[in-house]
Amino acid sequence: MAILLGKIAIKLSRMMGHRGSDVGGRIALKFSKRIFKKLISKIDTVILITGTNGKSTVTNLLAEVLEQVDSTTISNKTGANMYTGILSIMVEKYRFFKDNKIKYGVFEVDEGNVYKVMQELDHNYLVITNFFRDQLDRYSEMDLLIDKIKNSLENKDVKLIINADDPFCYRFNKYNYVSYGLTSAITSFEAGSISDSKYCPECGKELRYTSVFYGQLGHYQCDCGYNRPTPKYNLEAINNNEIIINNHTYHHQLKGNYNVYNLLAAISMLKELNISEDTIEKGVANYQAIGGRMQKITIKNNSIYLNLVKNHTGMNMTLQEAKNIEPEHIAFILNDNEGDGRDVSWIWDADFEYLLALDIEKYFVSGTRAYDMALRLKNMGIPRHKIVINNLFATLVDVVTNKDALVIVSYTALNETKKLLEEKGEVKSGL
Amino acid sequence: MDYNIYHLFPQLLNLYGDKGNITTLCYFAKQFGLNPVVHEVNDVADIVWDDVDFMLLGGGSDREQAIVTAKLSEIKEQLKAKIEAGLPLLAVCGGYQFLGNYYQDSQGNKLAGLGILDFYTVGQTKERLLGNCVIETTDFGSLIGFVNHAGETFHDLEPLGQAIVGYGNNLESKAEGIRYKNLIGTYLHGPLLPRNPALTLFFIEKFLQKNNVAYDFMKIDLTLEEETRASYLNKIGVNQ
Repeated sequence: MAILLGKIAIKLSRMMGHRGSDVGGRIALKFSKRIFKKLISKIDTVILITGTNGKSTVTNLLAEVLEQVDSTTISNKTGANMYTGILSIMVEKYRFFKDNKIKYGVFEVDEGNVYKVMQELDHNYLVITNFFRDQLDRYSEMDLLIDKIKNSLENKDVKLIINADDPFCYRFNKYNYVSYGLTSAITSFEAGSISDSKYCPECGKELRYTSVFYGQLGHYQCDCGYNRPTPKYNLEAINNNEIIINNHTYHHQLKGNYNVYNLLAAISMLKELNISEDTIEKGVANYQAIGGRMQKITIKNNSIYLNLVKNHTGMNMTLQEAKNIEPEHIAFILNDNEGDGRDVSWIWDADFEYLLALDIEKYFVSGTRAYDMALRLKNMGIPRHKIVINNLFATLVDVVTNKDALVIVSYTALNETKKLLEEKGEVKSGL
Repeated sequence: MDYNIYHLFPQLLNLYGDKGNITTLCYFAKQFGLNPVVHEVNDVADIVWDDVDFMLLGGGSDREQAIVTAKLSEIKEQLKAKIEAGLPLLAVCGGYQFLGNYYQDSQGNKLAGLGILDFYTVGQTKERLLGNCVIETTDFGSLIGFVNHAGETFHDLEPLGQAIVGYGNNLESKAEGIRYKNLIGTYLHGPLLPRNPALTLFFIEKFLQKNNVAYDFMKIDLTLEEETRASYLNKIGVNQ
């Protein structure tokens, strides 16, 4: 009964033009508290993906490869990553009068929702990408967040796949884990000026780094013995659209250096599932970036790149990418809705100063906190006349796209901006 | 003329864009023809006390603040003397809490502060003080910012202002922050200085006066700041 009502709600919501991301889950929950457990228990292998950055890309990549392995695979690829969003997907895929056996369930989980989802599970995999400061007004401080996730793993049969290069991820070392990381041969990242914390999470002393990739990611050691673990999966080289992991070469189509961590996380997970090398290779090679993740849209022969950014680390990686794509226009759409985080102070932690070395003709700022973004640019030395302010991006879209442009959006601005750009685009390709 | 800005423990006390205070101070210092020099202090031995023109103490997570308290206690006497002598200092959130006698965590453990000013802070778990804030002050007009902390601060000293939107020093009082000589302590992030140019100019003015540099505030263009403030106040529903 609860499932039926949930399905109806999803249909109705879609008919009214919404994406129906978690409404089905919320309705189903109203009628049955145990519905989540019941549905998830029908899935043979549950894979949860959490962390600050990269979880959508890892989820989509895993889901697309696993769909090739087994067509019953389900996933919240739309990015509805709250408890109710995951429930919604399971409700939607539920088929009455069938056995509903599902081999793989691949779910992206919001960091603040891991605890709730873990309560419904007995055995599963959990991939953790990284922990950067993100929406602190919602998650309080990172230490508290990590402790909460750790508590949820007690007495559970969980296999963790963690980022060895992130000292925060390594805080999960007392659980059953395998790790992945970059070898010291990788030198293509440029370290940003602000790091979350390069201090030991155990004893508080300053960590010693022999390599720093970005943020607090790198090869760290501490006098107290809190040392980076030796990963089971090592990324040994990066060459354009090729990466080498444990002596094996994979081709891929993802732009942005930071994506190598996402590829590595997904491939490590697939190897743990004993998926054949051939399937992984093909899946990774065929995978195209999801919308809004360095998505390329061609408008009047101009290359427009659209990228979602949620925190200063993601912003730094995107700004570095600007060096490669050489845009003449840069647009920032900054909102402070619930989904973005009400506090936009993180824009002052990001290194917009990178842009001073580039030849940018105009800066466009938009969204509910357009003025804060304008101040950020002005105070680092961008002349006021180069900054165009308008709260409504729709009124700026024509002028922004009459040159090569990079459009950077916060979370709640993504869908509308993507639609505006795609409508104008002649060639749509996720590169 | 060099304007020496000391940013204390930027790697640890960097929770909510406090670095933006430095960016903004540098921007305005240049408007007055000064040469801002930023000193990122990670080791207290690097502080050249006679050269400090401005100091920023930001906020960090509980873990990071415990590390910093230990380091700061080594310079307690010098810092206190400089503050008494009128050092322009901005202390935000955790940085503000450090200046008091102690911070009592939610389990009742007391973490000693620097004891420079006579106040204390109690961590609590019933309600996080979180959200947009507007503080009315006598000297700086309305200050706007964002707070996010679990500590309640108590004192009878002169506050920075009165909260007309959001929280004061604790859940009962609307009095926010502290003002002592040229020291300003507050819970307001945002960061504080970009959207509150009156405060930025206050700090720079102290330097200009001390060094007998002639200046004219009227020449400083604050149009974008005024537009930003108007847009923000309008958004959170404060009539001006």
